[in-house]
Amino acid sequence: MNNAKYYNDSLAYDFELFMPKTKHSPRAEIVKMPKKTNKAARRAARSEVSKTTSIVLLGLFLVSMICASIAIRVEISEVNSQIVKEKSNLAALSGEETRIDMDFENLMSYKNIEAAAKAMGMRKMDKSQIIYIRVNDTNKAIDKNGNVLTAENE
Amino acid sequence: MAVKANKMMLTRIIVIMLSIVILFTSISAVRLTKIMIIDGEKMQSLASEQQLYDTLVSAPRGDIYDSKMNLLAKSDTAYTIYLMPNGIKDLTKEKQEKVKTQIATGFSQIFEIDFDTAYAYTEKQTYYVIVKKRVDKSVADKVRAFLAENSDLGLARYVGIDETTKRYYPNENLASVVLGFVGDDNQGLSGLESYYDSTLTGVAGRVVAAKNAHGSDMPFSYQIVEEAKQGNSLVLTIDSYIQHIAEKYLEQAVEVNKASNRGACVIMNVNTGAVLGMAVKGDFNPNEPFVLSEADEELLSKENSTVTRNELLNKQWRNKAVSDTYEPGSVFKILTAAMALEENVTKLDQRYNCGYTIYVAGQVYHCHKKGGHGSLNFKEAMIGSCNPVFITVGQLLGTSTFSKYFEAFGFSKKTGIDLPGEATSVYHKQDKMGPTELASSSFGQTFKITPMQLIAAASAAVNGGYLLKPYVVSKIVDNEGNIVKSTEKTIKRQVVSETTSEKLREILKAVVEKGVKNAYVAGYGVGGKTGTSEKVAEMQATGERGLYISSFMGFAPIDDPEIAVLVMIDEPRGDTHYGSTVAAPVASEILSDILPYLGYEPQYTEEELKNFAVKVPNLTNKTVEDAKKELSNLGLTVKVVGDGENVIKQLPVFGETLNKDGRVIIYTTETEDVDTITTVPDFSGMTVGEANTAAYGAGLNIKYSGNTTSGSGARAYDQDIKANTEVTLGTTVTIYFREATSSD
Repeated sequence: MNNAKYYNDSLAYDFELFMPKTKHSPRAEIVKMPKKTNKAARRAARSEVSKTTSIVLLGLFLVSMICASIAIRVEISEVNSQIVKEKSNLAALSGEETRIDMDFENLMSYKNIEAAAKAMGMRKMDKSQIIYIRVNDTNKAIDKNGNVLTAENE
Repeated sequence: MAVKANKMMLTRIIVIMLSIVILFTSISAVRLTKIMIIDGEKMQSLASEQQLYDTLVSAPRGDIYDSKMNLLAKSDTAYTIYLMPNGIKDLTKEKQEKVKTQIATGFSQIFEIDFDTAYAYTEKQTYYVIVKKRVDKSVADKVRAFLAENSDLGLARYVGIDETTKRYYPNENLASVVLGFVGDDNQGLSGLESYYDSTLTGVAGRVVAAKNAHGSDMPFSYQIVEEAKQGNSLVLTIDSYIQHIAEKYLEQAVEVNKASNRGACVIMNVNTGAVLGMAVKGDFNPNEPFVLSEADEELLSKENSTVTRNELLNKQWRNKAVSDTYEPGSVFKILTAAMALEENVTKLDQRYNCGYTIYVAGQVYHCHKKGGHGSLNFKEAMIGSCNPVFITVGQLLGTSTFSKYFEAFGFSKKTGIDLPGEATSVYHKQDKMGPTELASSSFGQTFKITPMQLIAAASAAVNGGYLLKPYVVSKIVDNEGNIVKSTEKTIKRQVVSETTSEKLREILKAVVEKGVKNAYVAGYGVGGKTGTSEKVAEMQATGERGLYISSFMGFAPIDDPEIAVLVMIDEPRGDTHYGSTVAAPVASEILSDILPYLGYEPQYTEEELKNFAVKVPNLTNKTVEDAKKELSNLGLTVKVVGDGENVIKQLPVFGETLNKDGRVIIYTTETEDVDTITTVPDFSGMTVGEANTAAYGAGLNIKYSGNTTSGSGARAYDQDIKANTEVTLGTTVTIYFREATSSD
């Protein structure tokens, strides 16, 4: 850059004020690093490997967690559908049980028993065939030796 | 100048822009207000419908048990089979025909209907048609198997199975008019099912689940389940055994007496008001409430039939004991007597004269006994059911006292029993009751009450005077068996004193002992009164003659009553129509079965013991001579078949009972060539002696049922083995006897 034109001898006109200033880039301060020893270099390299491994492992862990979560959800869904199916079966079987109970109750109704007894030639008991037994109201039991045990003497 | 113009332009633009913004904001605000506030609920429900799956879960209906916890009604899962005929129309003609034929073939086999009926379902112009309602799982499984077998035709696209509920009544007709039945939506339509509908129904549950992108629900993940709460169950005062006995003998009476308007029977505990049995015949099977009896179907199919199916259905569902009123006739004399004794208008030994006719305010009344009873006391007037004496007593009471007691006995109001459709009585109010109305009311005519009102009032007359509120539900329990509510006896009021009640028991005991012998029960003290009322209004309306209601009101044991039985047969058209011959034998049969069941030990008289049947001994391997001797000692006769020395077989067999003079047939050789079959004669109308002779001639043994004590004049009116049936020689036929003499 030719800056000579900004120089003159006059004190009144100082063209140097308009002279483009040269930007001086600051000189980089050079810091001298301590020289790496072999041991430290190895440690640094190991640390680098360890970091990478951790990231990979974390990634794998996350992937496995996601897979496990999906697997569990699938399992839950299957179990749920099985529960629905079993509940439906239970309801059907319960209904069937009731129907069979009702059939049984119907067969055991007085009307049907009486009809079946009549068909087998059975007859209503005659008054002379009925013997009334008076039972003592007190609860009692007889042991193997024939002793009568009641609530009072026991 | 240019700067000023720019500023104005800018202001205008800002104003326009702001206006547009405000306008759009306002429109949006109004729209949002409408959507969020005014239509908020609707929008929310639409959103929920789109995003959520909400289903109501119907609550299982409560059960109904008898007093011994025997099951009378229960609900459970059933299935509805439906068809979507319009879906079939999308197929080609050829395939349509194939699908329709296959469906019709399957349905006709599974539901046991004819092919044409089944085919008609496939022809219907509708999207949905129900083929069969409330079928069991076994039938639903058959349909599923049928659909699987025809998967190549894709029948599952046109036939569906829906889960629903079904009400089971395992005892079929037993207590059907009391229990009632439920409709398609499981709601009670009659009887207890209707009266206690809210108790039995329970609280419906619901399942709310989120729908996924495909619109199907996502159970468990996003789901709220509110469990349905089962309805409470009812425990009745009715005992199945007592109910069965009441229905058995009532049905027999309705049939034998050719009753054209059904019959009713109520059995009640006189000390609590608990109804132990309530029977109506003809009734219906609540499992198939819309099916008519064969007789009704026949009536309906007659060309000149004036009744409709609905009328007949309503008739069979109607509880005659509660919903129908009738003129009680002479049974009401129990109450007239109670009033008169309480008011000291008469005494048991007060004497009267019955001259067959009596005039009241110019109106003539007759005694049922031709020629009249002559001189008799009040007790004898009750035994003879003398109308003139009761008219006289009624006149002495006067309209005011009569009406006071009529009301006090509960005839002017419903009993309040926990059953639907209780009828209101029709009677002469005091201000409109003249001497003639009082006269006819004194012996139970010209007013109408329900059988339930009558049994409640008559029970009050014999239980010490306490009018009780009758009830049929003793407890309401939840599904874990905890008692939610229990019914205690309710005394409405004391109508007559204990002294009057005791006098009445004495009179009613004498009525059965000396008058209505058909109500007699060996070993037990029974009291009661018969009634034969004319259906005057019906006879006037139809022009038909001889329409009666035969009834009997009985109590046992009469010295300290617990059981009251009211039997009422409407329009008997058989050989007789009197309460003593139509209704009293029914009460006797019922009481002779239920009193031992309730733990009452019989106390037989000497005469009753003499008539006791004899147990046939074991004669097998005994010599003929020894057998003859043993039978002779027991008062039995013998017939020997064969010429062997020892007995190899006997009829009746060992342990069977025979009346004194009964015949035992002993076989001494194998008897293939001997005729051992005989024909049962028709015993109807025979006296005990005639029946014995006829039975002997036919080689049969007979057993008596009903009052056959000496001098009873009883005649046979039914037999357990029908006439002309072929049976083995020595078979025992039970013959039902009743007094032939008439008494209302």
